[in-house]
Amino acid sequence: MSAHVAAASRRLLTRPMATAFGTTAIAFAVVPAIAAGHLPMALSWVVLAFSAGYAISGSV
Amino acid sequence: MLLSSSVWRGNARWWFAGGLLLGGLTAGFVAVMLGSLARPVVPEVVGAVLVAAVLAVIAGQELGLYQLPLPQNARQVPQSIVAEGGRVGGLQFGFEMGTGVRTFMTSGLPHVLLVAVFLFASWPHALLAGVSFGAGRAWMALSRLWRRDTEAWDDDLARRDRLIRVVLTAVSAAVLGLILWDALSGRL
Repeated sequence: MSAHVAAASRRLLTRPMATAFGTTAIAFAVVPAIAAGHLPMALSWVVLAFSAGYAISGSV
Repeated sequence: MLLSSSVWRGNARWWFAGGLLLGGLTAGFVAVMLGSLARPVVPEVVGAVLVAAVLAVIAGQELGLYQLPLPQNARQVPQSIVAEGGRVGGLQFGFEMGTGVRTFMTSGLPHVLLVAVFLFASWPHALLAGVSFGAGRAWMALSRLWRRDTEAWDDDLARRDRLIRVVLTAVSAAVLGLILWDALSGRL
């Protein structure tokens, strides 16, 4: 069972679209929370910079 | 342009990833240091308009409306650095790439980030953004290698390139709006 979970996780984590939508999901989760003052502003910088780094890395 | 898997023997990929983080950290340091000279003389409202304008222009490119000749070095770090340099080679390769200076810019989002850090980031936020930029670069490289079938990964990326760009641009716009709103709150 755990091998199936590990394999499924691996498949998910190695899909470019999964990363893009994962980043989106995180943004949707953190933006309202940060706006409400529940999470540090630093997370916005993390999401912004991670997105920029991921976006140009087709050139790696 | 993606690196051939044969380059990544042993722990080279981890040294490379470490180099990416260090390179991003360095870029963040330089950006906030230079920005500290500009921030006292650029009103925050003007800075916010500038950042929003840069994002709007870049978004048009990411959506495929036009292609901009954005400033970039447009040179790839030679792969031989990794193959011949061992650990230090991987670290150096990652560092140079992580700064975003010696690479091809296939997206304009790093330019948006640079302007935002330059005009609005505090020192801790700038350094955090730098490391996160390196982490974004590292994640793509590492997740591709973890896929094992790197050709399938390349096909996957090429097939969904436009959608990924649109998604990442939307995410960037959302969090950047938050950053600008936070910077301007109480000043409007």
